[in-house]
Amino acid sequence: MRRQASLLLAIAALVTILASVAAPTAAQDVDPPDPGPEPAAIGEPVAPLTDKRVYDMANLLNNEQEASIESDANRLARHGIPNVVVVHFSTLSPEEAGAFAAEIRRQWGVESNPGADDGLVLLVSINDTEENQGIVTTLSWGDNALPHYGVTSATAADIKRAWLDRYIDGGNLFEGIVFALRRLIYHSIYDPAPQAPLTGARADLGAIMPAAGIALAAGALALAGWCWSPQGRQRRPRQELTDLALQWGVPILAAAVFALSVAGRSGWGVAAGLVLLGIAMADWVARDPRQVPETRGAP
Amino acid sequence: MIERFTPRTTIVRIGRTGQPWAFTLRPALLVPFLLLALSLAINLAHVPTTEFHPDETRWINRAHYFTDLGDPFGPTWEDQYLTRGQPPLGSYLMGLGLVLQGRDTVTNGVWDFAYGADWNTAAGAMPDQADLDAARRTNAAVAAITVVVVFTIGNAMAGLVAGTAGGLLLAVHPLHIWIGSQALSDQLLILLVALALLVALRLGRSPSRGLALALGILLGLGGATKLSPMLLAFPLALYGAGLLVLDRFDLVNRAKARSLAPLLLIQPLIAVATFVISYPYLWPSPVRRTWNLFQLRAQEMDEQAAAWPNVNIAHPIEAIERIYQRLTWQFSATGNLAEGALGWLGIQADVWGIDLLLALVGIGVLAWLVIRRGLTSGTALLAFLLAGQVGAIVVGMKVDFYRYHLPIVLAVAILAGLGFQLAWAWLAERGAARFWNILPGVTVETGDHAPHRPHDAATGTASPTAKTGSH
Repeated sequence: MRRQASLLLAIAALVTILASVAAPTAAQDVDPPDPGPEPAAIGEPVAPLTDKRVYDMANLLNNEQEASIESDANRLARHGIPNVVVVHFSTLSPEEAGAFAAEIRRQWGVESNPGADDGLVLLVSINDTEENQGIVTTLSWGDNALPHYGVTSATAADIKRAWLDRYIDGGNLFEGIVFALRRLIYHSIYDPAPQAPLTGARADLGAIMPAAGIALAAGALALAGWCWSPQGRQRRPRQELTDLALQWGVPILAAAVFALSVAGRSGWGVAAGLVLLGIAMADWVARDPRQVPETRGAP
Repeated sequence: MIERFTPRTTIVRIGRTGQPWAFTLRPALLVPFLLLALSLAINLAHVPTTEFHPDETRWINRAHYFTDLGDPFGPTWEDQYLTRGQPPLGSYLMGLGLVLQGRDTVTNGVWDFAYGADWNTAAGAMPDQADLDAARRTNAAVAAITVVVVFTIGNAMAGLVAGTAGGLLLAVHPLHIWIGSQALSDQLLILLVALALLVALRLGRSPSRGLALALGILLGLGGATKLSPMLLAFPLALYGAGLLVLDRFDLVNRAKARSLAPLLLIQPLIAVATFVISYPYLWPSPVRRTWNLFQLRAQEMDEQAAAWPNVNIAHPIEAIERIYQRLTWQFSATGNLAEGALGWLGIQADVWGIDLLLALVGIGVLAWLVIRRGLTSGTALLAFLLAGQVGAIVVGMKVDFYRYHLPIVLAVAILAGLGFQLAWAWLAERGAARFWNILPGVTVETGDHAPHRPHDAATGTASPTAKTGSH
């Protein structure tokens, strides 16, 4: 009987030792929920935002998924949109969730520089109570965050609807978050910033250059046509003057019309400048003195 | 033997004079058509089977640049990653090709290389199959035209055999076929380089403002395709300055040097102006934005080298080693032909290609031609430009991507053509060309010589001493 008791004690001791050895290993595989903000007290982030941007307090994402979102969130930040992603259980209404996300943004300083107010908080609030089940997603933008290259309010709303909400509603939380971040990255990299309107003298140039450029190009074309024609070659008054105009005046005019049209963003003006340049080049080629046999040689 | 490297007009008469089926062939006109048809057929046959490369999506995506030229101050030309990433001419070509084939220029989204094919496909970055095929067919045509230009260069510089061999080697070269059946801009690059070489050859022969303008424009357009050709305009200007210096010491043909040098000195001006005009993105600030372009290209090369350490190239010697490996074992026209022939006999083997060996012979021939024809000749200009383009690749190559070797293949084809011309000349001196005698009713005439096998008007029989054309 005593031997049996000793055996049982020995087995229990072995199991205890094995369990104590195995426990830390098992604990490493467990993905504990992130400490993070709660509506009552947002507090401080657990790490600098450059080190940790994803807070999965609902513990719905595995380590690999968190790492993937972290990578994309960092990439988005590198392309000019500092951000934090928060997933939590809550019973917040859409309005309350928006206010809460904005509060996180302000208190955690989700921005490129203090006071810049150009950050984004992507908040997923999951209501998992017995009375009411649903998910509220929020993109809370800083006042100066948009537009950022191709990310405008309209683009952001489209991304929320077509990627974030669509995938999360379909039960794919990870895909919804990561795809939304990737679309934001896409529009930050590959779309241009909205163009500032022209003002002052440049706006005036934009109005003047189409007509002025076309008139100058037509005049130069007429002069060149006359000079190049057989009649023009034979009996041309003030030949030196017209030659001077074609050889020097037209190229200078071409450069001036082109530059002024670019300043005034006039497509027609640029076209006129190119016509003038073409006339100058054709005249330069036509006046080639090299058409002599002694300059010819082996291939 | 130099006379055998002087291009002559060759005429082949088939049949007896006066007979209804008798006709005359001009190989200099016929061969380029045959080469064009061959190269186009090969490239088009590979369009459906060539492996897809994500880079193709970028070129197809930017096809809208072509139609956006109509709005040169629109959002496309704003300062942004895509406009800084690549100069635009390849995109214009894609747009033109799509439009000519009945497609529009609104295509796929931008492929993001940070993610895999799954995400990019979901995000709309994978092109429609019809767009991909149309863009590839565009490149197939460009590649076939390049073959014709290579023929013209060889024919103008050395003779029919050099042109035919060079064109043929390029047409069947596996790397040329591969890239010629993908939607990339590298084929356009080598077409423009080949055209610049041809114009340089003619400019050296007969200096004129028109040809100088054409050369500068081609170098500028080359820059608008892949940046590097534009830089060749600067050493070309130095070459012009060098001619003036040599002229002072009476070391070159004085009339030719004084005629040619000013035209070379202005090449950078023409090339840079063409480059800027062709790219609306550069207009508001040509210097700063051109700098942006070069900076981003250099940065991307460094990033590629860091991302793929196995293709990283540390120094030019390593670049030469990579070129040798690629063009001897992986992409070799002669190797492929030999493997095909052996395979036909039932022997499977990896054959060592001799393309580079032929090119080395061609380098010797080209150097010899430059010495004989002088530094003011078109041959010297062509050699200088060719060396500049190859040198720029060897020095500038930071990663060993297959497409970066295509301009080297162009040089190899031109040089190997010269090697074949040398072999042909050697054989001709030994009377080997008399094999034409076995072809009944064939007469070959070259240039200002009398027909090598004059017809006997009475009998229509051929003389037994007929010789062939490159003579």
